[in-house]
Formats: sequence, C-alpha cells, structure tokens
Amino acid sequence: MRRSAAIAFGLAAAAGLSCSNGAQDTADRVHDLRVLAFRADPPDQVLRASFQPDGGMKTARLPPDGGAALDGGLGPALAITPITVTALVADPAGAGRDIHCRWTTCAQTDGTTGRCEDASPMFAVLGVADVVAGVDGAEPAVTFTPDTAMLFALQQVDPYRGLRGLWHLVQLEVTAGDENVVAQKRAVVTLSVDEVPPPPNRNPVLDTLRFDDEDWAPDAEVTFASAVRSRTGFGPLSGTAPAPANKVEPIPDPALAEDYTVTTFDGQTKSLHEAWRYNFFTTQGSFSRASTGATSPLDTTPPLDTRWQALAPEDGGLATVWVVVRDGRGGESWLVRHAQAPEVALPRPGR
Amino acid sequence: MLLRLRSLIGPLALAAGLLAAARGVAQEAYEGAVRHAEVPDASVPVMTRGPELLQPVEPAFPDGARALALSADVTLRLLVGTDGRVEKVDLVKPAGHGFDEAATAAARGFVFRPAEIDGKPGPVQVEFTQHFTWTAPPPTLAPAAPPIATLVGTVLEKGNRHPVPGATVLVDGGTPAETDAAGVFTVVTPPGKVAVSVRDSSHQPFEATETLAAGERLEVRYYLTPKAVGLYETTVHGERERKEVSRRTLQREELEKVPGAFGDPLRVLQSLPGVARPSFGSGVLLVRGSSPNDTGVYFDGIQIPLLYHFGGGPSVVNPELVDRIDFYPGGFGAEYGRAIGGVVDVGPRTAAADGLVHATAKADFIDAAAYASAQPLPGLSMSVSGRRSYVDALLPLVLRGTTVISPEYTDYQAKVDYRPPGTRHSVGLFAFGSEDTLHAVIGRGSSTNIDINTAQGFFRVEGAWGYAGDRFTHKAQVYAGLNTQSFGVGELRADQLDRVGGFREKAQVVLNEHLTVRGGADVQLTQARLTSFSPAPPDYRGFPGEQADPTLVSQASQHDLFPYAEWAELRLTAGPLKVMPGLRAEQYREVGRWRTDFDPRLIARLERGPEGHRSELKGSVGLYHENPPLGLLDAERGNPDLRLQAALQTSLGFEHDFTDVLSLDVTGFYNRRFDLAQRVNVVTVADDGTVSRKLADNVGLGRAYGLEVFIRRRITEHFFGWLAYTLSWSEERRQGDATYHWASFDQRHILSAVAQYKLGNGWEFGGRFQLTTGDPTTPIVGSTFDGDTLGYRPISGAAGSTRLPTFHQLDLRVDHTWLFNRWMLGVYLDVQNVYNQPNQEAVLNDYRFRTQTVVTGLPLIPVLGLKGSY
Repeated sequence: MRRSAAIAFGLAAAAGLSCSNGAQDTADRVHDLRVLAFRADPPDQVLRASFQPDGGMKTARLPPDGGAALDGGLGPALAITPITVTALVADPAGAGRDIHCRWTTCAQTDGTTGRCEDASPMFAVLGVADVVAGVDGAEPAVTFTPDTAMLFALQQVDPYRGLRGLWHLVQLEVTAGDENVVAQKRAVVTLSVDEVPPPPNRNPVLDTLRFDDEDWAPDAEVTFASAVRSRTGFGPLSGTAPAPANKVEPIPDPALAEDYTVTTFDGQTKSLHEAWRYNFFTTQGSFSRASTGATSPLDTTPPLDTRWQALAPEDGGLATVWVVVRDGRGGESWLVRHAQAPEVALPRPGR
Repeated sequence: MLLRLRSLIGPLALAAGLLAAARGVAQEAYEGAVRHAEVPDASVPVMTRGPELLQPVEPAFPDGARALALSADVTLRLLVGTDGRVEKVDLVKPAGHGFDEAATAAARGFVFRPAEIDGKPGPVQVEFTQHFTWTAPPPTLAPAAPPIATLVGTVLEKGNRHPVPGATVLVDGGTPAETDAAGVFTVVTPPGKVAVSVRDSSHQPFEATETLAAGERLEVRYYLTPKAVGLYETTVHGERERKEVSRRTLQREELEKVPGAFGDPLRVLQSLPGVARPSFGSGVLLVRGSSPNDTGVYFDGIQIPLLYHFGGGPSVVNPELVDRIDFYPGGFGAEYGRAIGGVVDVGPRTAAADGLVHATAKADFIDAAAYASAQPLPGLSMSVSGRRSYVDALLPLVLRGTTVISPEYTDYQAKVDYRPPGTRHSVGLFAFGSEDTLHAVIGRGSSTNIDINTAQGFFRVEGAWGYAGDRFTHKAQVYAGLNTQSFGVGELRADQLDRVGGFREKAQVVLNEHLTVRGGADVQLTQARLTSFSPAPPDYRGFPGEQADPTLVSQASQHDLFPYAEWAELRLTAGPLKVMPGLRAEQYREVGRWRTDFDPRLIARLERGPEGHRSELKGSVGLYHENPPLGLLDAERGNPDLRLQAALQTSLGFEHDFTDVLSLDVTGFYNRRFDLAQRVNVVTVADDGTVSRKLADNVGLGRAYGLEVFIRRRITEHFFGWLAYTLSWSEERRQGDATYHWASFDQRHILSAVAQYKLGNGWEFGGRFQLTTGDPTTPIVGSTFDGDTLGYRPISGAAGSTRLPTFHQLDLRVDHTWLFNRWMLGVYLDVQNVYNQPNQEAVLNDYRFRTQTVVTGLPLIPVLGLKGSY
C-alpha cells in the first residue's frame, strides 16, 4: 500500500495542493549569503599503506602507531602533501559587508547535527579570516596538512575502514550580519597497498562556456534577454509574456574526464569513467535546469546546456553567473561570467 | 362483524422478525438471522428449524372498538421458550382502545413447536402482528349473491417489487381478502364498477376502481408506497454473536450512506474507533498505531493486496456487492493471521432469493458502476457487478499546463451460489478483481519531460463448498489468482507478478452446550516474480554525489512464498462466562528460509442482563506474527535472514446495551510490537578485508495503548449513527535507543460523529464530523551545505517532537429517492469539507530547509451522483 499512498500523494500534489514559494533566493538564484562550491587542491592523494593480515588486497590498514604504516620508501611523490581548500562564497545582497570565515575539521561529526562541533573527536580550528564578496563572490581558502593521527582516527571511525579513501572533512562557517552558513567539503586521502598505486584524482577543469552558442570569455560582456518583452491579453487577463531565454552551455574537453577504478565489496576491481556534472548559479533570473551533465537512470545521455531566463522586471544591470563543475569523486572547480541586462522600459499597463 | 386473526409467522417473516435469543444457549447458538442462502460460515451456529405456531388463540374483539367500528394492528414481541410456550410478551406497536390487552392475552396462550438451533431446541424471539379488522355484520336475511366476477391481484411494494404479504384487500366493502406470501389475493364480487382498497400497516393506503364484466376474471397488479421510502432494513439482519473483544460489524445501510464516504462502504472504516485518520484522504488503514501494512484485508475470507483504488480512492469492491464489514482493530481469534495490526473482512452479498431480476446503476463525476442479480432456478443465485472510472477523461479539463495525469481504475465481480433445495450442502463460485493504471507526464512538450506509468491490480477466483449440519458445519475454499504491480519512470521499470493460490478450511463441532471446537487450515502459495530495468545496486562504496555508473540493467528474480497455518479454538461456555482459547501455528517458507511461529490467543467475555439491557466485561491477550515485507527480504537490497515481525496485543473492555438499539462499548488496549523489520546500514569489514553490509534488521520496537469509546445507535427505521472516540498513544524506537518517540501515525485524540436520518417522502440527510490531533512531525532546525553534492543536509530536531495542527472537517450528504412501480431513482449530494477548513497535511521545505510551505488538504468538494435500482 505504500506505493499506492505515494501515488495518491502525487496525485494530490499534482492537483494543486502545493503552494508557491516566492522567495528571492532559490537553489540557482543567489540573493543571500551562500557557499556555492568548494575546491580542494589536491582533491585526492594516494598513500602507500601496509595491509594486515596479509590475506589479499582489499582494504589498507593503518596500525595505531600511525606513521609507521606509511611506507616512506615509496618516495616523496606519495608523501602527505598540504591541502588547500577554497570556497566560493557569494553575498549579492550583502553590499560588500565583511564575511567572517572559520575553518574547522574533525575526525567524526556530531551524530545529531552532522557537523564538526567543539566536542567532536580530533576537532581543530584550521583558520579564521574575514573576506568581502565582490561581484564574483569571494574565495576564502585554508591550507593544512593531514597528520597521521588524524588519518588513523578517520579510519577508526569509518565503518568501511578506509575503503574508497579516507574522507578528511573540512568545515567552513561563514557569518555576515545575522546570516550564517555552515558548509563542508571532503578532502580524500586514498590508502593503497598496490605495488603501483592508482593515480590520484584531479580537479576537473572547464575552460569553455558558450552563451547563445557563442564563446563566453571571462572578459566578455554579453547582454541577456530582458525580463519583460511584451504584454499579452486584454484587461484583467493581461500579463507579461515570458522573456526569451538565453542558452548557456559548458563545453568540456572529453580528454580531461578520467578513468578510475574502485574496489567492490567482494574485493574485485571495477573500472569507471568520470561523469561530470554542472551546476548553474546566477544573481538574476533562473535556469531551466540548475544542474546538467551527469547521467542518471532517467537520462543516460543528458544535455549539458540550460536556458537562462530573467524572471522579474526589477532584474537589470550586471548579472553574475557561476558554473561549477564536479567530477563526482571530490574533484571540483568553477568559472565566473558576467552579463548585462538591456535597458528596457516597461509597457504601460492595459495597453 | 368479522374478526380475523392472521399470523405473519412464516419462514421469511420469522427470520425477519427474529432477534437474538435472550439468554442461555440461544445466545451462543444464533448468529445472523438470515444467511441469504450463502455458503455457510462454519463458525456460525445455524437455526436449523424455525418455530411453528401450533395452537393460535383468537383474541376477543374489544367491545368499545366494535362500537366505534375501529380496526387496528398490534405488534408484539414474543419470547418462545424451549418448550414452545410463550414466556414473555412485549408490546412493540400498541393501538389502544382495548386492542393491546386483547392481543396480549391471546398471545400468552399460543403454543409453538420450538425452534431448533444447531439441532437443539432453543429460545427465540419473534415479532408478531395481530390484526383486528372491523367489518359490518353480514345481512342475515338476504340470500348470498352468486359470484359472477373474480378479481385476482398481486400486491407489490413500489420501487423494489417485493411482495406485500398480509395486506387486507376490500372490494366494495365486501368480505376482505388477505394477500398471501407472494402478495396474491382473490376476491369474488358482483360485476360492474367496484372500489378496491388495500391496507397494510407499513404502507400507505391504496385505492383503485375496477370494472368487471359478468363472469370475468380480471388480473391486476397493485404497487403500494411504503410509509417511509427505503426504510432501513433492520429486520433482515440479525445480531451476530459477540465473540471477539472488538469486532465492529457494519450493515449495508450504514455502509452506503455515511457522508464523506461517497457511498463507498469501505471508507466508512475510517470513522470507527481505533482507526487513525490518514493524511490526504489516502485511505490507508492505521489501526491502533500500527503501520498500514500490518492490517490484513480479506474479501470473503481471502486475503487481497489492496483495499482502495490508488491507495486513497474508492474501494476495490463494488458497493452493491458488500453485505457487511467485520473490522477487528485487534484481539482477533486464531482464524486470522499474518497481521500484527487489525483485520478487515468484507462479506460479499448473495443475490436476493426472491426469484426476481434486480439491477442497479450508479454514476457520479468520478466513476460509473452497475450491478445485476437473478435467481434463475430454486437455490441458484447469480450476481455480477463492475465499475469503471472516467476521471481520466475529466482531469484534462481542469489540469492545465505541462502536467498530464490519466488515472483509471476498474473493478469487477461475479458470484454464483447454489444450495440444492432440501439439502444442507452449498457450493459457490466467486471471481473478482481490480486494476488501476496511472499515466502521468510532467513537463509535457519539454525535451526533459518525465513519463510515469504505474499499474496495480489483482484477480481472484474462488470455489467454495459448505455444509451446515446440526452439530457440524464447515466451509472449504480453494482459490487462485494474480497480483500485479508495475512502476515505470522513463526507461526505468520495476514489475512484480504474483501467482497466488491457496486453500482454506474452517470447521466447527458443537460437542455440547458448554463446548464448541473450531479449527482450520490456511495454506497459501505465492510465486512472486520481480523484474526490473534499473541501475544495479552499487557494489562499491560510492562517493557522495557520484553518478559514474548509471547503466540500466535488466534483473529478474523469483521468490516462492509458502506460508501455511493450522489453527484451533475452543469456545467454552459456563453460565454467563465465555472463554475462547486458541492457537495458531504457522510456518513460512520464504526466500529460502523457514520461519515458524506459535501464536496462543485467549478471549473471554462475561455477560449479564437480559437482551436490550445486557452488560459485558471482555478481555483478550494474544501473540501475533507477520512476515517482513518482501522488499526487505531481498538478498541484494535487504536481508533474507530477517525474523518474523511480532506483536503482543492485550485489551480489556466493557459493553452495555441501554436499549435494543443503543449501546456503549469502552475498550482499553495495550499492544507491544517487536522484531519490526527496518532498513539499516551496518558495515562489517572481515579480517580478510572483504566488506559485508546488513541493509535490514529486526531492530524496530513499538508500543500503542489507549482507550476506545463507541456509542452506537443501531439502525432503526429512520435513524442510525455513532460517536467514536479514541484516546491513544503510539510510540516507537529502535533497539539501542534510550527512549520512545511518537510514531508517524500517532494521533492522541480521534473523534468521529456520524448520524443519518430519513425525513420521509424520499428525503434523507446525514453528516459526519471528524476531529483528530495532528500527525507528529520532526522539526528541521538547520542545514549544512555539502560541498561535494552541492545540496543541503537538514538537521532534524527531536523525532516526532512537534505536530501538525488539529484536523477537523464536516461532511454532509443529502439523498432523495423517487419511487416508480418497478424501479427507483436516487440522487445524492455528498459534500466533503463543508466549511472548507484548510487542514494542514504536510510541510514542504525549500532547497536549504529554511522556509516551510504548508500543504493543505482537500477543499470543499461536492459530489453529485445518481443511482437507479430495478
């Protein structure tokens, strides 16, 4: 009967039971203080680790003495390297106010909040800073080096014991005025017992973006479609016709999407290929699809483009568009573009 | 002057007038005054012979009434003892003028051949109408005129063509004639124009003028209008024996006319005590704090997978084919199993044994339904019914934009019963089924539209053989059928096809007046075939937000489910005390595992007082098991090692009958549920490094306790209604959790008031008011942005620590019926949520869980319908 109930719910919802939400800030329209994305450099690093007992290659183990597990004989390329985590913070309505950033980490988040709290195991403050978000937003960053004690603790609390890597959580709390956002990012440290460890993951890179099928360079100022183009209907039935939309399309380099392998639960190796996903954010209007790219069960060949449409007459001036690309396994980057709204006079009502 | 005495005591009238026996053995022995010639229920004692009036006594016509030339009918209720003597006479419909005393005095002298119940003499109550008809004394000197014309007629009730027996027919003030059981009368009269009048106490007077030629034999048919159109048929149903602590039985008239139910019998269940209100009118049965899957649904004793079309729509059974609904909110006997909540058993209706063809058609803006029945041969009755929705054709008129929804539902039933005249055997064949389909397109015209196709349905065909002996009764059923379920979104598909077969045997032996033994077997074989075209379950640890392996793969699996049960029950009677111990032993062979349970159950009742003023103390305790949902037993997505889910149910209650029709039932209950199967994600890494995951486990615990109050005014000619109030707590937790929290369906106060009144002249009016505590909700106190998925994770407050606002709603219904000689036409207006209360049903969160949007329930909805009956 559960499926039946779900169908009934769907019918009811489709019949108009849900209400509208006229908020200025939506998933893809940025108005308030927001963290839009994170990038870790490097997003992944591979460490050679011992495995005990010697029953085959499944999950690398770190013994309690931490550093002894790391095979320094493999050379400096596989030593622990510092990680820089950069956030993309936007605050369009903040009018250039100070944004306080506090970076923290922990081995295990609080069971209730899912956050690193002061009492969390291995809690540490990685850094604090004040930034100001401009038109492109702000990019606060912190650099830290995971120590072996933290890696050992991460493996101890991980039910998978490090299968698919240790996920070192970095938490950013941004505060401006009475707004507060807590965001988290996982930096991956992969433990490998292979003689030839797999290459670490790299952040995806998106260089090319198109606006109405034309290259949209960082310094190009394009003009997007006006929110109000015409008035339709007569008398009380009159209204504004939706503005035409602009096509925004990321053009990835297929060669940059990586092949990689994962270890299955029964110890086998499975080969996969990265499926990049794109998220679109803007300070004006909205997108027909706020996320494109990655295949899904519903669409195995999804389009990458989206339609950007300004919704409100008050939209105007300079608009910022952020496009975030993710490789699905921790790699992430973004680019920023701008567009200018045309000067358009509103038609007189009723005409 | 002529005094005529006539008795209504015939087989049909007796059955119609029979009420539950007043005391002793008969109280236990009689269950259901009319069995409708259906396959007998082995658990039901049977009246094997009705009482027969051997020595009537003619009453004296009161002198005062004679002087005033008065006629009258006096209705009495007689308690006929086991020796055939009249032990008690109650005046049901007095007439005054000395008629009452004369009728009572005469009735005390009646001698009956006593009734037999299960082959033994037993006391019964019968209703008896004494007719006093004044006529002028015949002329003493004039010679009798020779008969020269004959008027032969049949008197039928208008609208339904039922014969009217016992009506008085007067032709030109001559000798009155009386209609027989078939409504037929014969009058010999002088030729010419004659005035005909027909009188009957339950119908309006009828007058006609006929012209007869000398020697002519004129055949006529008269239709009498009942004094109240469609009176509630109180006399065709007897009081079923009270066995279980909380069995609530609803009759046809109660089921059809409850406002807000849109004429759907099974939706009335949601107005009974112990049943929580489902949100969105979804229709799921939330019984005493249990989840919807914990309540078993049976149709004619055979389990069916769903009760309502689309979960919350009309029921899957045509209302015309529903005779009664037995609802057990808990504490049911060993006969039922595989459920740890409640049980709903819908009794099908057997075609009327009146030799006529009957048909009904109904239509409103949602669907249309039809029903027809006939009795082509003595003992053979047949009925067929069906229903089809057309809301799919109407929705496009109101749904604009890019969303298209096309729901369709169909149900159908065909039933044949045969009881050879003069035998105690009966056989039956019953086929029924239901089919729902839903096609929806969201984002029509877009290249990224979502196409949804779902379907669910079932079909059963059942053969039954029954025997009703003096001491031994049984019913055997063998059935087969299909359950289908499919769900598709785009290319994704998941289908399930169940081939179902089974056998049920139920037998009863009355050893003596103190001991009855019942028992049976319940065997079911289900072959479930699941096919899907969907992403394979990940066999590796996925990174948050990773979607690198969306390849759709075809998968097929087959599961043979084989639960079988044996059960036995004793009914011990010692004076006012009845004790019913029972044991149900069941084995489940499912997904390659054996699971066994033994469920002991005990039910006891202590009765005091005469019929109409009876008081009862009642209690029950029992163990109940059910198998986990199939989806949780799957090896890849669940855990095939799950144990059976279990519940310990207890109840203690009190019943009191203030009158024959007004009763109070107060029942307290405490149910503890344990070993509930729930999804978990427990990862275990073996020494060799391999990883195993447990995705489901018996870690759920629940408890529900409370009090149910049921004040009920049973059906009489003009009125019925009830007030149901439930005070309940339903809590749950997982093993290892320190404290319980409110269960998802916990509603502290549940109040339902139902009333229906027949105003006369075909008008009928009813209302239902519901008031319930809002469902528990878990507040969201914040959220965290996940930089790897670019989504927000909510931070929940204490589970179930807040509630939606109190729900309240009023539904009204008006019916009007027009009578024609051979058929009747009814129109009804059922208005749901009359004062358009915006009841809050859910809260939707924005993308970052900061802003909540309220979702309200259904607004005021008027439904206009038509129903024609032939």
